[in-house]
Amino acid sequence: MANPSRRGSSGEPVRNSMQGGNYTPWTNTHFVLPYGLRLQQTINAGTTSVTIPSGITFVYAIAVGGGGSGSSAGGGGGAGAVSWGWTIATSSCIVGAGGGGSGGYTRYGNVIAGGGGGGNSSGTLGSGGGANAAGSTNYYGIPGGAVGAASVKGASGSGAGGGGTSVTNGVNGGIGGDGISGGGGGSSQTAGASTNTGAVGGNGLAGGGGGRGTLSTTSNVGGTGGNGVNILTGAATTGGAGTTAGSGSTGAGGGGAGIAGNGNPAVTTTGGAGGLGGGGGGAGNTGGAGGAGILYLFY
Amino acid sequence: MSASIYSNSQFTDSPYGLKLQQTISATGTSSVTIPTGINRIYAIVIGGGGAGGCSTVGGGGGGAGGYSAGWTYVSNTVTVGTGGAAVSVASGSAGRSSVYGMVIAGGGTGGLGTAGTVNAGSLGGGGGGGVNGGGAASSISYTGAPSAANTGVTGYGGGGGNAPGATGVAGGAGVSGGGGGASPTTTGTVTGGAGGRGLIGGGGGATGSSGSNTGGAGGTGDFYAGGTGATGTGVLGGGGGGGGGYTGAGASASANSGGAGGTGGGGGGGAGISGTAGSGGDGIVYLYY
Repeated sequence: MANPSRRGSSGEPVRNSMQGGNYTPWTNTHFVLPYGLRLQQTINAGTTSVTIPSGITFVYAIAVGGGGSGSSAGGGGGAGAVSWGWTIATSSCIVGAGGGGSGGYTRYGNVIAGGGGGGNSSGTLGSGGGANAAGSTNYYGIPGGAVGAASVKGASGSGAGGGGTSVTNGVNGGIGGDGISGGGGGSSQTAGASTNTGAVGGNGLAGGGGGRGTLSTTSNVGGTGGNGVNILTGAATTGGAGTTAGSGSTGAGGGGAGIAGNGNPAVTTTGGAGGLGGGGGGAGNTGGAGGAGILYLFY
Repeated sequence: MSASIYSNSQFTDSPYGLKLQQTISATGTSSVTIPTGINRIYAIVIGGGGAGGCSTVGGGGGGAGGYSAGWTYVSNTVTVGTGGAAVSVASGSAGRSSVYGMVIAGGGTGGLGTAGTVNAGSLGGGGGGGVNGGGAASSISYTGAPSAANTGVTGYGGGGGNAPGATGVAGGAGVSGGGGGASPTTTGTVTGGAGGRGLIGGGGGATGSSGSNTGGAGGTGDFYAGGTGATGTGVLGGGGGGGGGYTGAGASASANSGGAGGTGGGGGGGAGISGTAGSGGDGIVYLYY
């Protein structure tokens, strides 16, 4: 069997060998990964420069934006976008931080991924919408999902729509939409004696944050964060659990899973932080922060 | 009938290992010669940057040219887009598109001038900076990435910055940065919005105060820096710096005149009172095979 990454004869004169000295042609065959290339650099949020070895002209980049934070008044945050593709090699990069509000964008060359929307707001460039907000169209033009109506699940999309907040006591919030990047789960926050349950975040490569339950005089339950996928291994990453509280308190939502880490569980009334690699933050009296973005470079 | 990519040594979607064979920087349409036996080309195509705007209260910065890359069939012609030209007391012209085969990149939108006319770019170009209000949104990219709104929003092409008050809003960041917003304030200390950062930078917004003016800096590109904005009283300052291009730095502003965008699609800086805006940087095309 021939190496599928091999250059054919049509491009002479060209380099005859792979650019990277070492590669693993028959492993790491997950769909987003560049077949035959080796992960050479993993870059975390806040880093602004990289060193690419001389002779490397093109780099395959997977960029993940920061997740949006959970809301203290609404639902969970949307997951950061995931973009991938070949780009020219450059020594500059931007890796987005997780929100406080919407997450930051991540860019390497011309591969760019937006940050997830904070609860009640939309993100950009393929990110999941926070609860009560639509997802966004991604780098490749794949449309985002629509926001769910009250207590309705958000629509699927490259960036999935956020679930709608419940407006009725005892009715769950809308689940975050599923997509490449999951939408935030809606909250249930109408006063009354029935249990208010926040919705789970949407699933994706990165998951949305869970919604909160509050203002019930009996029981308030936070939603679990949406699940994700570790794109280097294919293994699942999991959203964090929500909390449960009684009268007068808040059950906070768990953080959504990132592509590189699990979401964090909520702590009492504070939403769980999103996992590394774009997980959305859970909603709570204090919203959980979004997970930081990440950048993978293959060559 | 079935086919397997694994047994076809000709198959690859990767530019990996390719060699840069031709660089075309002369603007306009010209011919290129591709050797016999080359059946497809990987092209990187950059459109011209938008020019800065001119206004009695300072013009917005021009958006950076679009950036597109991909495989195409072989073509014997190539078009390299010019950067937008400055227009007296009006919005700057948009940059022109660059094309090789089926790979096309649009120009950046011109920075807005007195009448607020939007001279729109296309296909991934950054939005123009505003004057007396909103800027201009960016354009949908070659890959289908959406446009970014005209308030300095991040996108593939960053949205142009708006101009709400004494400080102009920076152009949106992205692959191609948006132009910075001008400040509409005519007295006191005012500052133009910086051009958006990107692989290619947008132009800085200008100011037109009778007091102290500081034009916005051109957006920083990945390979080249943007120019600085000019500081001075009245007509002695306020010009916006040119955005860093793919192949050259943006020019710094001089008094009330904006700096030109760097070659390879940098956006031009806006003009201060009675000044001349910076032109956009010309585009460029690279062919790999």
